[in-house]
Amino acid sequence: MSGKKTKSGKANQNKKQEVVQDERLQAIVLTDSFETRFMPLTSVKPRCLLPLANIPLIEYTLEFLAKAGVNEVYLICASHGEQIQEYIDQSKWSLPWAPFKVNTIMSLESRSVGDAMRDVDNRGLITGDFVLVSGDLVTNMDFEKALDIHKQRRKADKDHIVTMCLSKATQFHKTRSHEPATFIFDKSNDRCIYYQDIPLASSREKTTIDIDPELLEGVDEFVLRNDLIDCHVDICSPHVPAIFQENFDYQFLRRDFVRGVLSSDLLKKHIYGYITDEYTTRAESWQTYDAISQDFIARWCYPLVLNANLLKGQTYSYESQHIYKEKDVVLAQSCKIKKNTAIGSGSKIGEGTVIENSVVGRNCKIGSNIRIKNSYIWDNVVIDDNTTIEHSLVASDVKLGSNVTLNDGSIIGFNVVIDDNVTIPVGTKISAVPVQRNTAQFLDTAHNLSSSDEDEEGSTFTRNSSSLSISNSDEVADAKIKLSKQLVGPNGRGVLYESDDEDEDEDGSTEKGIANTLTYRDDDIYLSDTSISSITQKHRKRRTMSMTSIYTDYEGEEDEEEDFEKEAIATVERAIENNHDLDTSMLELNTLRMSMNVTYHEVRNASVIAIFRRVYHFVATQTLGPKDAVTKVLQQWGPVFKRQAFDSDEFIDLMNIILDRVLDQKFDKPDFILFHVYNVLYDLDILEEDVIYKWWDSVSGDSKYSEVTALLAKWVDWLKTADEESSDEEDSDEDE
Amino acid sequence: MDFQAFIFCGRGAKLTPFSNVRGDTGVPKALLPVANRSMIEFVLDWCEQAQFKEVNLVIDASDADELEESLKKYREVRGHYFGLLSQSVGSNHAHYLKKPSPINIIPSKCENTGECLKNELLDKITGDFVLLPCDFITDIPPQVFLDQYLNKDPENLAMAVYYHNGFENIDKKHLKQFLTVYSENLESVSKPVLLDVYSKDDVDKTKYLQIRSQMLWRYPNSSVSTKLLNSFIYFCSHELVNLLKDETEKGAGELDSDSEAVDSLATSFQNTSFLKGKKKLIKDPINCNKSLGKLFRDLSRRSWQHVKPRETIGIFVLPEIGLFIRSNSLSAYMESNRYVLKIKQTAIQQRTTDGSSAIGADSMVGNNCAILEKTNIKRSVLGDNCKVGKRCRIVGCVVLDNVEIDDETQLENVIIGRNAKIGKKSKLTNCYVEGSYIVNEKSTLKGETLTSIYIDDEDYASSLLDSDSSGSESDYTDEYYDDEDYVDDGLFDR
Repeated sequence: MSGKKTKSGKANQNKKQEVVQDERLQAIVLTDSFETRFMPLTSVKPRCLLPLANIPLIEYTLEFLAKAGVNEVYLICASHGEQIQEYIDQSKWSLPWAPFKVNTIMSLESRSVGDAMRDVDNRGLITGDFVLVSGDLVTNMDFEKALDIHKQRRKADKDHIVTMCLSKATQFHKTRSHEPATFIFDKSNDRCIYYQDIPLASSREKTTIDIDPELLEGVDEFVLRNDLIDCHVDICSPHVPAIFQENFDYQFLRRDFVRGVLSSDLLKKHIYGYITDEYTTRAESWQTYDAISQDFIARWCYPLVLNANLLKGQTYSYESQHIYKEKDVVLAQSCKIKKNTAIGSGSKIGEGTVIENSVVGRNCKIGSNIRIKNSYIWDNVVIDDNTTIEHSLVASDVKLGSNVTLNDGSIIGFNVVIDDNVTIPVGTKISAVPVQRNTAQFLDTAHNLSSSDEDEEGSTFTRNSSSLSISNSDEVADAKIKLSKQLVGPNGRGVLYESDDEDEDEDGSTEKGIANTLTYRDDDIYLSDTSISSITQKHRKRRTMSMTSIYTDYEGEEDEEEDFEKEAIATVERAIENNHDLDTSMLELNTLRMSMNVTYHEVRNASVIAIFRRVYHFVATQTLGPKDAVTKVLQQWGPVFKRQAFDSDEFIDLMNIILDRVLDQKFDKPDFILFHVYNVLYDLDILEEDVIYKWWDSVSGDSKYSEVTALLAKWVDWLKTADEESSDEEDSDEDE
Repeated sequence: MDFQAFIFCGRGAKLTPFSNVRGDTGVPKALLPVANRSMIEFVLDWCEQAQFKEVNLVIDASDADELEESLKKYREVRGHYFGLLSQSVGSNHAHYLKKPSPINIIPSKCENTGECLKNELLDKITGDFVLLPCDFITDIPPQVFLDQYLNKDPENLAMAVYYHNGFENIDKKHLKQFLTVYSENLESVSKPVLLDVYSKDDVDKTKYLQIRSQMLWRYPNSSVSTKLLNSFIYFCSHELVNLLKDETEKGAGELDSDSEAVDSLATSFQNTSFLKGKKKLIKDPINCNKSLGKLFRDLSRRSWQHVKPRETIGIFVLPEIGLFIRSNSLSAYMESNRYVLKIKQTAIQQRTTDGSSAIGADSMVGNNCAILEKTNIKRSVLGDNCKVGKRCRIVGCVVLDNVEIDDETQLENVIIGRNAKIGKKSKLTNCYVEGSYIVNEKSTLKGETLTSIYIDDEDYASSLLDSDSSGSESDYTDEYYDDEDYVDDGLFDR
């Protein structure tokens, strides 16, 4: 009976296959990434029209689709749709002999990939298997092979709905997406079992990939791949848009859709991977943009190279050392064009100028004695003499004055003017006009941001920052303009673009900053990662391990500690409230400490915060006076510190924490509280004189604490002079 | 080969009621007969083939005497054959002959194998060494293992041997499943390395298989197998001894994962070691109070969980052409009996005792057995001094010594312990009968384990946990990962 069944099944499949073969291959191109990584440039131009090596990104994708033998292309446009429409209308793709017809679909309300897919479903565009790509793909992949494999698998497994094309690399590959993810495949047939994002290697976070054992049933052996470049080329069956439709909460292609399908008990659909070692990647962040440009210039993507002159009217010719020049480039006699450089037509380069590892667009006027290194200059840029550009990106129609220095990682937006003698600091992003955040555009970005944000960062932050920017925008605007004038010079035009990510950067978490800047810093980290082990990781570890420096507080990533902090504070608070004994609470804290793998510094920090909250509570509710409150709480809970600090360095650290937290807690009289805390701890023999003196030496000079240290100065003096005087006298002293 | 071999003779908790874990009707696991030869002899033969420098049997102190006793005969035979061989070779060529390596017995008092290795064996180890279980039978020559080990990467501390179960009949329920994480290192020149081991039960219990992302950054292309089984064979380099040895000046106070301190300690040595051209072994505190399987799991974790990569544990998966079986559960024990029978099938001559009774060529009968007429024995092993009545049918059974089987009994897939008696006209299928048990007449039983009751059953159940590594194990917490597998891995005695 079963034989019969399979037979009929086979027949069905055969029929289906024939149908599929008859059908035209469609491609859906998501031109919008629904992310803000290329801000501020994407506020003017959509991502897919940004030039990479003087060719708009969308061209690479379309070129790939043409080679893949696609018959119909649908460009799903969200922001700046009209620009894309216009571009396509004028490009070679709308010529009668174009390999396929390009249809632009305006899906202006879409806020995520999921929305776009639902829109596709609503419009009923899909008739058969289709290719889903993003508009920033750069590849020389042989798509037909992938398609063949897809069809074969489809024959064997009729629940197969998606084949993801992935490219083999190494774990630290520079064009790997900066949201690294692990794919888990069945070893025997490359069926994807699970998908999960993981934090960067440089992250100190200890995370795990949690695989539900149910997913592993019937799988003998599976592989965990963290070395794949996910270029978002998916061969999908027509079911895919429908699945998006059914699951209206799916936003992301990978995180929601792939994971959702894989872990769903109901859908019972399968996703397969196709792993190639051809060049495939997406320009999805500044970092990858940089890397791909270099690779492209260095012909990694052959036959897709610059001198293939993909665009109408392009006239690049190739010279040795990867130098590409178009017609009508005017080079001064003494200028030097070094390796890995492309220069567009109509550009003029002045005397003594050195250009290396860079791309220069069309009609640029580059003066003399200019150094351009590792940078990207787009079209119609004017650069005056003696300017230095180092690893930066200068968008179209920018004017740079003379003696300007663009430091590592600067991004100069469209139409910005920078005055003479200005130095742009590392990692600055400048746009000509302030990026409107309160408009629909803003909604768009905010939404994208909160969703594009990694889980690790937590969306709470984004929410904060966006609400912040709304409330302050008016007041801040003026100040910003002033600041911007400073930045671009009196005759300049441009405002500093502060991405939400960068705010975070200032907060001390570097992860996000790395992800979204062009700066070399990221390169360094990546390099160090590749060299056997992550030195950065170690570096940080040591910082926190040493437990002595107060820097740890600022250095470490907030997220992990915050979790611990919250939990630990809750633990201590519970202990205080319920009058636990010291042993129990210490045991709890220790367990927590070990499981979260934090140092005693964090433990002390948490205990201090909890204790102060208690004190504050007493004071605020006026149950006790400040002095009594401190004494009461500390008499009982002070000894806990004895088990959290073990040498003088750590006690100094403890005193620092107390100092900081007292200020944080915003008592009415912080100095008074502080004094009492130290005094009680001293009386309890927790703080020794030596420690206090040492600590005092390091703190007394600090102006930050001047408001609270006056009283302490007295106390320390008193300690020093009078050996064994009663504290009563001291009390009366300060009562004065 | 200049290896020292250590054969760990477990107590065979999974082989109850035939091992002597409970009561004394059984024998020590190592002495349980497989096709009428004690298990250990198969291992010893294998070691003989490998020509290890010395072979040590590590056994629970209480069982040492019994083992010693039974080894007497083995040694005698071996000595005898060696004598014969050297005679025939003649004095001129005697130097070609290698004297049989000494077999020592090391009585152990430790609770688990890891502790035993650390406390009792480390001092005895002079060079590279091999850790072996006492219960494996294989047709893969030891040279295959040795070649693999000798070609190891310099940073390998040890090589763990894994195998695929080639016997379909072994009850899957009795095989504890493990998720073995390893990297084949396809992209690099290195040999495959073992990365981690999770027990399936723990994964099911915690609902998630948790793979550390940290590991994936170091080994981005790693595989996980649900089918690989631990052979408990470890080829270890002498470096491992250095790693596990306690350094007296260092207190145990650094257990709090303060690897950094250890790091700096190691760097102070670094200059001198640099001259030697060899990386200084970073001494991480390693808790040995666990079974060897867990110990090696910890060692393999150690290779990636530190900022600085540490020495790795290689993995060698036995080729599937060869057969490898460990008699570590009752069904595996039965299967290994059959496996040996199959090998011997051709060699053994038909033996007829009484006119019309038949013993298949695929069966084996020990000395002094009495088998009456019209009895059929197929695919079975009978120990010494057994009495089988008339018109019995014994198929696929393992019958140990001194068993009496009365007339018209039908046995299928039954293991019968020593001195047991099976009453008339009984019908047993898929049963285990403990030694000295008396099965009543005309009883019909299926899939039961018949044991004499003299220990509280609850008690007994708890001791079913791996005997070699139970006890203090469970309340011990790992210093690096507060482990999710709080239940014993049971790697040793699976």
